[in-house]
Amino acid sequence: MNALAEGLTVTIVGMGITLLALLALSYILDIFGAFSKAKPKAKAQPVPEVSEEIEEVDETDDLELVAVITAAIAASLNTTTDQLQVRSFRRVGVQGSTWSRTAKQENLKIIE
Amino acid sequence: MAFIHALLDALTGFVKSTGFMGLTYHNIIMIIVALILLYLAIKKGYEPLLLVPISFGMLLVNLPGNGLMEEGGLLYYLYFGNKLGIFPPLVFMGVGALTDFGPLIANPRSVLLGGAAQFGIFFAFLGAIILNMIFPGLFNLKEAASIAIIGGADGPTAIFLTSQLAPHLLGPIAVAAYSYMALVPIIQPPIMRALTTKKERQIKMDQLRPVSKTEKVVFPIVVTILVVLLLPSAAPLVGMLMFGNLIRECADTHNLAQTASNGLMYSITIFLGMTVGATASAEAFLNPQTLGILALGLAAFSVGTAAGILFGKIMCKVSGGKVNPLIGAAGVSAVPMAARVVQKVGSEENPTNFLLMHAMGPNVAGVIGSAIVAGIFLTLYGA
Repeated sequence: MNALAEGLTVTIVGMGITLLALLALSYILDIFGAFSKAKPKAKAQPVPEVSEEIEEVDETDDLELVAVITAAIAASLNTTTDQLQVRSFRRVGVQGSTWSRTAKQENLKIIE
Repeated sequence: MAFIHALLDALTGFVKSTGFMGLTYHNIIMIIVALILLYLAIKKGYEPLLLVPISFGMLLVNLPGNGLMEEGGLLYYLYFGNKLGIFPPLVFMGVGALTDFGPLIANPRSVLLGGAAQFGIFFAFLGAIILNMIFPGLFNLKEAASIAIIGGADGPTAIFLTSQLAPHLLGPIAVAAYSYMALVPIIQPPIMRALTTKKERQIKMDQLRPVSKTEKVVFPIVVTILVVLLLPSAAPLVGMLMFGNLIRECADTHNLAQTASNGLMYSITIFLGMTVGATASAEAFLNPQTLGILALGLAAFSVGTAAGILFGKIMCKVSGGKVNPLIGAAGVSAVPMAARVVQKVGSEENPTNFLLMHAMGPNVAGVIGSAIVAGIFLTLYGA
């Protein structure tokens, strides 16, 4: 009986300490969140909705493509995908000569 | 004539020195157990990275007469890495170097789910005490604590605590812990479905905010200071886990993180696995305690899952239906298997529901949670 009483005490104290430590951690993480919210707001404001390119949507076929494009735009605008909505998109086609395309690619590499 | 005598003597000497002469039926049973575990690991893919070394160590030590685990034997010396509590924290460092705490930083409340799921550990602890009341002398409190930690679903933590409190139980506890971890996709879903409604399982959660590099670097430092000050005995586990994570997140220590999570971790895993398996001699494994350990380990896993989900339901209510209770199940740790199970069960109800990243929060919090519980047991029952 003694052992069971000890077991119950250990359970209550143990769960208490574990939850307390993690609760403290969770509040500290709230502070993290507050800091990170304070910063990007200035940048993020002009980005509420972006509608990319234009024209026809066949969402059932292109859902994956929409996801990829949304993620790419979100990453480049420094925001999350739920802040964006892709209404439509279309292929722009290859423009310009091989030379200008090469030049574009090389410039992109430098930006990366 | 004398020549033939000498030859016969040499032959009998040889025959006597072979393991065949010392083979008992206990050894044979253990060899069969080792072979079954090898089969499960190799053919069925049950945690092969650990179960292969463990079961091979088990096989070696049960072939009589080789003295590998006796003073002077190879595994005897390698075992010091476990006995002295060196290997598990080093593996933990590798785990830290592999873990992304981003989902947890992005959703601070999910940390609590990783705490709630630790109730499974204490449930098994009480279970072991009650079993001891029914069968007096079965488990003492140190053994009960070591068995209970199986519910933490974290191999290194279980091995670390057991090697400090009840080293004679290392074999069965490690086998139970890793087998149940491999069985997470079978053990958890029925409990998850039973405790949640269809509507709850369909809840979609808001996308997590992006987490900056600075936050990720500060996180391991803050956790180390907080947890180690609160619970100094958790320092080997939490300290190494967070150190591993810090070298992962610092851009300039990339090479250290690479080594910690690859070469070093796998080398240690080999030593750790083989020597843990080598503790599973016939006398240590074939006894009623092993049956108790297997039963209590399963109970710990199941109750931990249930506790996580029930806490998730509370959070769902409190947040006004924003939290999907399923993610609570990932709080048992077993990274990343438990989070994948949550993703799977969630997407069964609604294929467009992506819970994986939300489940990773409680999942990695569970690792910290079980390390804390191990620290508590060490403080209470350690030397």
